[in-house]
Amino acid sequence: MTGLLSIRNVTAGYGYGPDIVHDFSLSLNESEVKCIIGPNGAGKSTLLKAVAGILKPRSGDIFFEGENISGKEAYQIMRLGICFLPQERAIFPNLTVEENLRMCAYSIKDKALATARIEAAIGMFPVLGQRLKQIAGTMSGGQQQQLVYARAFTIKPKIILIDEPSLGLAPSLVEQTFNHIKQIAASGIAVMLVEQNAIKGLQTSGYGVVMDLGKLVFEKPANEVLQDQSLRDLYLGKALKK
Amino acid sequence: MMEILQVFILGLCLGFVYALMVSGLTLIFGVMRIVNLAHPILIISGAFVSYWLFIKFGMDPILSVPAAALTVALLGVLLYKLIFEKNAAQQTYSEMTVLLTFGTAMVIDGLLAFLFHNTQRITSPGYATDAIFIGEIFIPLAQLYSGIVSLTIIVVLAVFLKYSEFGIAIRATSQNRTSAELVGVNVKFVCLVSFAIGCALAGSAGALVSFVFSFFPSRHWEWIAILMSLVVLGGMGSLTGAVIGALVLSVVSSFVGAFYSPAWSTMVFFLALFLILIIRPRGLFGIKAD
Amino acid sequence: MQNSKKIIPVLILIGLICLPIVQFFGNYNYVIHMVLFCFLYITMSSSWNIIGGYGGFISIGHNVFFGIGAYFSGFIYARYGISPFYTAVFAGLIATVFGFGVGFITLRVKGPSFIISSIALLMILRTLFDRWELVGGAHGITLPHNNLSVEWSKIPHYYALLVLMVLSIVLSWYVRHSKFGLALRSISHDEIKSEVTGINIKIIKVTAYAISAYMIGAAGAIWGDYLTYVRPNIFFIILIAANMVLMCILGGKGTVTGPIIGTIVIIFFNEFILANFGASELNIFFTGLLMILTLLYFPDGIIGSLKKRKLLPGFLDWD
Repeated sequence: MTGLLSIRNVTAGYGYGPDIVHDFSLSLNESEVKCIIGPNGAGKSTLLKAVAGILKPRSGDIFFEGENISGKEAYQIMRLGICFLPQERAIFPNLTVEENLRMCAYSIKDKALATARIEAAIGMFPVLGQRLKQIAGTMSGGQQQQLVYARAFTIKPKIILIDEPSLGLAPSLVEQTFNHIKQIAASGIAVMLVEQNAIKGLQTSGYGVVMDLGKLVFEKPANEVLQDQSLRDLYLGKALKK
Repeated sequence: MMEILQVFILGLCLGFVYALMVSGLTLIFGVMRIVNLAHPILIISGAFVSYWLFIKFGMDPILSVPAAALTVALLGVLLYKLIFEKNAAQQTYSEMTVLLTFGTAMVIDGLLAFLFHNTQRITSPGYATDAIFIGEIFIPLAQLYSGIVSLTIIVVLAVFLKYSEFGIAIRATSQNRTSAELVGVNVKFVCLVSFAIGCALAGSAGALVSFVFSFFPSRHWEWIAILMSLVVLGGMGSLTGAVIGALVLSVVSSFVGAFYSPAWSTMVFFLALFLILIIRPRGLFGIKAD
Repeated sequence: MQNSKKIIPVLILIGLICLPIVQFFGNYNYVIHMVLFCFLYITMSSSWNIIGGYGGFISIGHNVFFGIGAYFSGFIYARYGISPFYTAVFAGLIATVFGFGVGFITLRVKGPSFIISSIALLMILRTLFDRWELVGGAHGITLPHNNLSVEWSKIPHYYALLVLMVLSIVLSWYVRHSKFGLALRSISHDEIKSEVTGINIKIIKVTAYAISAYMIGAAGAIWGDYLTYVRPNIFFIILIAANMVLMCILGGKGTVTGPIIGTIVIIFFNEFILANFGASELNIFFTGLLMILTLLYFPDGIIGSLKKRKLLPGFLDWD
């Protein structure tokens, strides 16, 4: 199994606690969009954190473009091309929108390129362009959300990891969010997302990965997961029968 | 009227010095949530650097600011690596770290007292006894110069934090460490540099303080109480709040000292602290309740 | 195991009660002094432990109560001739009342702000008493010596402090094993979660703080009489507070026997330093160094570390 990202037999957990992710393997290729679904506590977020470098894997390896990145610091992994949007989708609340965008472009050495990327991001999110001098924390939830996703377009990573994009969002924003994700995927960035809203998540993705108790249950093309009745019942909830 | 203006100006000059003293403290707390009780003894260390440069080489204390800043910054880096680095890994405040800084303060205090004894010292450059007259207002040069230099350094710091790439990174790290890491900031490095900058600020404050206050190693306990009161007053971690608090309280303190009793002027700071705790525990500019 | 748990402390207590008998055989004032110095600090660090160890509120200015108690009884003795041995009970009470008042204000804030306020409090009182003419300002109050001979002059203080020490330990044990103590310790872990279980966290925090003041105030009254003078630069110095904190941490904060062991270790350590290095500046240096090393490598303290490794002898495990 090669490809852009190759997670091999990774086991991970928090602090001195038990293993949450057990011997997990998965790969992600260019332009692929994979959605990880599964019950609570399955270890989905933990997996993303291990890839992003927030957690260090306890065993196993993670290969990115052929290089073993497990054990590297989060900022190093980020600079290699993996961008992580965690659940606490935090922006920098006391910086202005413009400063936030400059921070997004922090890792871009070439000043001209950084400026160009920021301009492009503002182009995609004109709302931000109108509020450049505003303190980011004073914006509405939806606007802050846009700032978060602007990060992806500023950085243009090779892979973006998104932890529960729809979490805590009003339904109207959920739609907007998944549109952003589709745009990101369309621009050629590989996406791995973890999503509770399994239906929306699968509809946005090419593959569905089911995870339970820290282990991989199976991986199938997303529309197969959506259409398979027994899988639907098991993981997506039974529809009420009349 | 003139007398009031004079006390006000003197209070303001002193206020800038206090503001410089507290700025490093606030920076370190903001980035790493470390309440550095050793900050004042580092200021005194800087004062000693200036003192010895003055005694041995006749160097003007204002000119010795860079030397004092550098020395204390290096000392700070050493302390950070030896003692605080492990604890600074978490961005959360911990009592243990405060007690570590407390122990560090005692270690440096004991060392300085052992080496130099607790005699009162002060550097006395030529201008220390001079004053200028603006109309009828009499302003001692020592206070004036120290106030101006302090103000300059604070402005430089503010500009650095506001506009430079690294300055924004420092501010970002103090607001959300994880997010900073996820946009590629080497957070460990930022913490180390912030600590060094904070100590450099302490050192430069020490150089200026050396000809304004008489100092001795044990004086740092008094300054701990004053500076910490300012930090709480301004709202933990807010540089603006700390500076404004320093200016306001210094002016008030000067008035109390001039028109009521000099002995009570430092009480102003402590009482203000308690007042703030009663009225508005999160401080004047506090971002979060801590 | 159970029996040794009870017997050894009782034996030690009996030994301490009988110790002054040695004065019949010669002048062992130095020994008596060291032992009662231990009594003093065990009293203070055990009391500090109530708010600092169980409660998690680190107060680095806790000797304000020490000074208040000393001044209260000292003033009454100097003015009205009533010995501190009678007024100590009330000195403690005064300290407690003060503790309630202060605690109500300062316990609103957590962590760093609280610690800072404790230092500021100490400085306020120090400055206040330095200037207060009624109690002698910086010169303080001078108290009359007692009429006993040299061999026996320390003995009343010895027994008074022994009583206070035992009471402090009992109080600490009681808090540790009571519902109150349970609430307090849960507050120290997480205030919000504690609050939603229905605990009135404000009352509990402030009460713990005030309780911790009592013994310290009473001890201050006795100590003032022992020294025969009460001055700000004796009672309101930060070194005392630092020692209180260090003794508790070195011994193991949040445990009953921790402060006891920590106090004994530190006092003997100090004596060692004094004997070999003399100067008092180095005292501060070594106290600070010890604090750093303890916190970095020994954060659970002696008792805590032994407990973790299951090496704690039964008679020391009173939790």
